[in-house]
Amino acid sequence: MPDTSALASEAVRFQAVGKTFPTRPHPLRAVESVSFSVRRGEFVSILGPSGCGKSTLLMMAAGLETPTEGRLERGGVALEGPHRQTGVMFQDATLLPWLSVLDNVLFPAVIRHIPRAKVLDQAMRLIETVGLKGFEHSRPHELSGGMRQRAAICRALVLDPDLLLMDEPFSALDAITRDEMGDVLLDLWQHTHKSAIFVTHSIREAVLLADRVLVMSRRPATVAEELVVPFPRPRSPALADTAEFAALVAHLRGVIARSMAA
Amino acid sequence: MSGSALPLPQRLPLLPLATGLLALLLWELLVRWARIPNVLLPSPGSVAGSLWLAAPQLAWHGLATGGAAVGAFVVAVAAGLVLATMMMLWPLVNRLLYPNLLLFQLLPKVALGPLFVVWLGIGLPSLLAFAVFVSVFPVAIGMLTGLRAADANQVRMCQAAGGSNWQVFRHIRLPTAMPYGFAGAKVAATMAFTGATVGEFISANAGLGYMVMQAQAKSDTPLIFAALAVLCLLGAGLYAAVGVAEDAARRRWGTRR
Ligand SMILES: Nc1ncnc2c1ncn2[C@@H]1O[C@H](COP(=O)(O)OP(=O)(O)O)[C@@H](O)[C@H]1O
Ligand SMILES: [Mg+2]
Repeated sequence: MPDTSALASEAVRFQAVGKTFPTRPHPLRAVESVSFSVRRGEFVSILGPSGCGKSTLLMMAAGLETPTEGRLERGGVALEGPHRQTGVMFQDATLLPWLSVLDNVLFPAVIRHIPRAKVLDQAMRLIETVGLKGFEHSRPHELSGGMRQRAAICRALVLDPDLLLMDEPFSALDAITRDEMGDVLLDLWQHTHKSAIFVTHSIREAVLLADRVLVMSRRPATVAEELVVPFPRPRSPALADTAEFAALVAHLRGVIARSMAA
Repeated sequence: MSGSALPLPQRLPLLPLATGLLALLLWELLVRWARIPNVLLPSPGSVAGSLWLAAPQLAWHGLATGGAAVGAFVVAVAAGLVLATMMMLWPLVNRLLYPNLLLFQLLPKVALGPLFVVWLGIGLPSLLAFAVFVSVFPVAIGMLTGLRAADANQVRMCQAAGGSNWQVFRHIRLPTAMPYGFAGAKVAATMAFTGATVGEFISANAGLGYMVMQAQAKSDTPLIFAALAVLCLLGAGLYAAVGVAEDAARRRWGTRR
């Protein structure tokens, strides 16, 4: 497949995308006419009530679900199925228990038939960056929840994708580990300039990481509000302790409350 | 976890072994004390005598039964794996076969032995076909259960990485199914010997089952016991071989949890 993505200025574009599941007796409308795009290198966070259709939206971007209406473009071309340059993280780390941490990180290369030698360096570098050095040969059950999600980040990044899709990746972790993981991700992302869509329930996480925050309505999900995060980059986790940050979080909380009430 | 790293002598189950020996001892004493006739219940000692005297015969017939059972086991495992794979990959095959397979699993399959003689005649083909028939179901159903037990999130993860149906099968479903497959194979190992022996009862002129029938006709009960002892030993041997293969596979593919 020719890579025309370099020509497009947008990593992903949703154009009036809708999704209805053919459930019985009544079909379920999960996503309603969603339009937005993510520029190259832009980090977009998505907030919204649970069950509103955020995962469905993300799975469509991952090529795992097909929209029933509208058009979904990836790097300027219509998206058909999982894209080689997309990394995905799920709520659960979904590591394979029978593989070592290293083999889990290398798993996408196996699936794409890329020789191990070609990606081994990248894998080891990522493992070191997220602080898992020394655990390459451990099995997932020997790791804590936070360490497993770190391994899952490495797996999502190992083929150096230009788009990272994350579906509440830290929501199964305790509050402290969760903030820690947010900081790891912030650090990692600022060094790589990838595009990202990040679904979360944490307003702090959403604001700290994102260039733009989208607030979704109740189901069926539509973009209810959009907010540009003005803080310059590179950001440090300490930003979250400033008054400006707190003010923005408070403002966003109000926006969410209003959009839920509507 | 399991003490599989220990040297062999330490892994020998000493306590159950002691129980077994004690039972043999009591058996011997009971037969002597109550003067039970040999035809009714031979003492362990006279069975041992039979084992010794009929050793060449037992070895020959044991080879016939062992060969038939192992051959049937291998065919049943291969067929079971193929059946389970096809049912997993092609929903239509699953809908055509699965309910029938379950139904057959419920039947007292051994009772169908005479039918094989009707169809295939007396001899090795009907015996082998019968042994395969009784041992294929546990493999097919165990394996299919394992293939279906794959974690839905892991399947999604593999698909998101670009995995095809075949890759999901190869990298997610197969490793998940391995312990189930081996559990099915262990049942199949005993069923293959059951099938081979029952087959020999009804349609053979060689094998331990045939030998048992001959000994019965001559009221040589010690020889019946000797043949059954060899049968147990062979069955345990195949079962142990499957266990060793499972250990090796789990070490190689790391599905030990
Ligand atoms: N494959 C599916 N089939 C039928 N309904 C689904 C499917 N996936 C999700 N849904 C439904 O779509 C709605 C949105 O789900 P989801 O996208 O997971 O929400 P969120 O991630 O925002 O919590 C839910 O009501 C859910 O039950
Ligand atoms: Mg969700």
